Amino acid sequence: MKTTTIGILFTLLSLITLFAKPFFVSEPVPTMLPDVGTKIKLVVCSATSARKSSLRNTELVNNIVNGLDEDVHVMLLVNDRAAFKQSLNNGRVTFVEIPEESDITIWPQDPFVVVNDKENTKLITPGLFQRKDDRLMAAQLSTILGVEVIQSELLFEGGNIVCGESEVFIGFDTLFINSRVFETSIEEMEKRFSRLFGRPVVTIGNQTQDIGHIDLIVTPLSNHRIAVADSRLGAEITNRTLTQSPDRITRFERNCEKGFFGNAAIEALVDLDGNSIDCPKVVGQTKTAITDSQALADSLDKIASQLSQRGYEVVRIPALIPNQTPETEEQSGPAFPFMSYNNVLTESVANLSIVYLPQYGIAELDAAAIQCWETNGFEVRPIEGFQTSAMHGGALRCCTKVLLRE
Amino acid sequence: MNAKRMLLNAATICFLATAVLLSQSALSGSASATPGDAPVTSDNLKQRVRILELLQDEDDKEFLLVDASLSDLNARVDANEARCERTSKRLVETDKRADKMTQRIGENRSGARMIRASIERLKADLRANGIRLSD
Repeated sequence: MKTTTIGILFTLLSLITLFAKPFFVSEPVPTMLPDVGTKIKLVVCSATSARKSSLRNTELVNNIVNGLDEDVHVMLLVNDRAAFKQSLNNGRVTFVEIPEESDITIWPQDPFVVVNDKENTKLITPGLFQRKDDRLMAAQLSTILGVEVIQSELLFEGGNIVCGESEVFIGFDTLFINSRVFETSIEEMEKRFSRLFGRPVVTIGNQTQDIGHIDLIVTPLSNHRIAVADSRLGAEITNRTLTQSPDRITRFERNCEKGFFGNAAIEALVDLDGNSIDCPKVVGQTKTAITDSQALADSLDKIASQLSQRGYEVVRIPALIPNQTPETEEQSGPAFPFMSYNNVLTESVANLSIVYLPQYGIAELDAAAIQCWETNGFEVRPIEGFQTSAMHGGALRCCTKVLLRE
Repeated sequence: MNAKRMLLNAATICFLATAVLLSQSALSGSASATPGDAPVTSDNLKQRVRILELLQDEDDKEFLLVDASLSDLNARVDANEARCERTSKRLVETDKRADKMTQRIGENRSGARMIRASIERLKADLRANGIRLSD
């Protein structure tokens, strides 16, 4: 009788333990590394050499590495290690070699997303990523850093996803494409992305995006605040400069053209397929860019309004955004610089909010953006030299992916 | 009495099990919290970064990356420019030679015309003197 009783009690206890465990012990769920938060510790950038890429970015990499705080470690992806020489007394940068025969861009933001729990950091790659050989980036980083790479079946680009303190913001295009591929609703896709990134998902916009990646126009901040680009304000500031000091604008335009190939003597290059790569026409185009920027303003106002209705305090940051709907395939390449002051890195160190802010060379616009971030309580660390990368449509966040915060 | 004791024992064991589970839960923490406010000592990536930091000199200040292939490219541009200059000089010389040749051809043509005219005059004289010429 006694044995039977003990047996029954043991079984009962086992059953209670089994069923009660999920209510008391939660398994750690990896969550997306936010764009806002504690001090940045580790980032990844990519450097391309002059002999392998028309978009050579050595000087920009120097500006980024030296512009970030001294104790930030930089993983530098290269596919032409022999081309680079670096200062001897510097251990801040670890080279990560991608096979020489492969072709990489300067945008490590896009081919993966970083998630972590308290134990591990993981890199999530999309089901398909076809831009050059950028899909190799996550695998090489995984080898060097010993982090796990998980391939998702979902399709995404890191530039169209930004993460706040509690929610992940994803551009409409990403959710729409996935809903078509998986033949399901946008709402269902939001749930799937939410499970993947461990946080609730907010879709930015409700129709085809005017701007390819939302990280150019939306920046999550702390305390339920969010910064949205204001292309009307950017156009106004630039127009004022164009009217009052047209020479400065002309100098900026000329610098863009001169610096495009990294050498003013080079007027055109030929790509691997034998197609000519020409320097886009920038001189005399600022007036058109101002008009295009004004035309995009309503669309950005809608995004600001959407986020405001969701309970966020929205702050507006000036931006000068050129035409984003090229009429021909030729126009879809590099063009007039996309001057975004939302494509930034932010961190908080001992109650001090810091923003690393790209600069493009129109002094009045650069200064207005600095002032705007300062007004919103940030200490601004400007990083120069983004005009060429902006002609290819990207800036600081596109070039620099945060892998770890303190 | 026995049944009451059994029930009491079962309740005690269940209470203990719940207490154990609650303590486990309290110790494990929640991973859905914002990264940064969770304990982070065991993050594999943090350990790697710590190793990288150990390799870092305290003197590290300014990073300078140089694209040596850019100077290769500049050298190639310079070499091309030098080659262009040489080719350009050769072109000028060839142009001059071509001019001379054209001039000589012109001179030769006028010489040929003069010879042809002399022959015609000679033929006419011969015919005038009753000398018949074969074709």
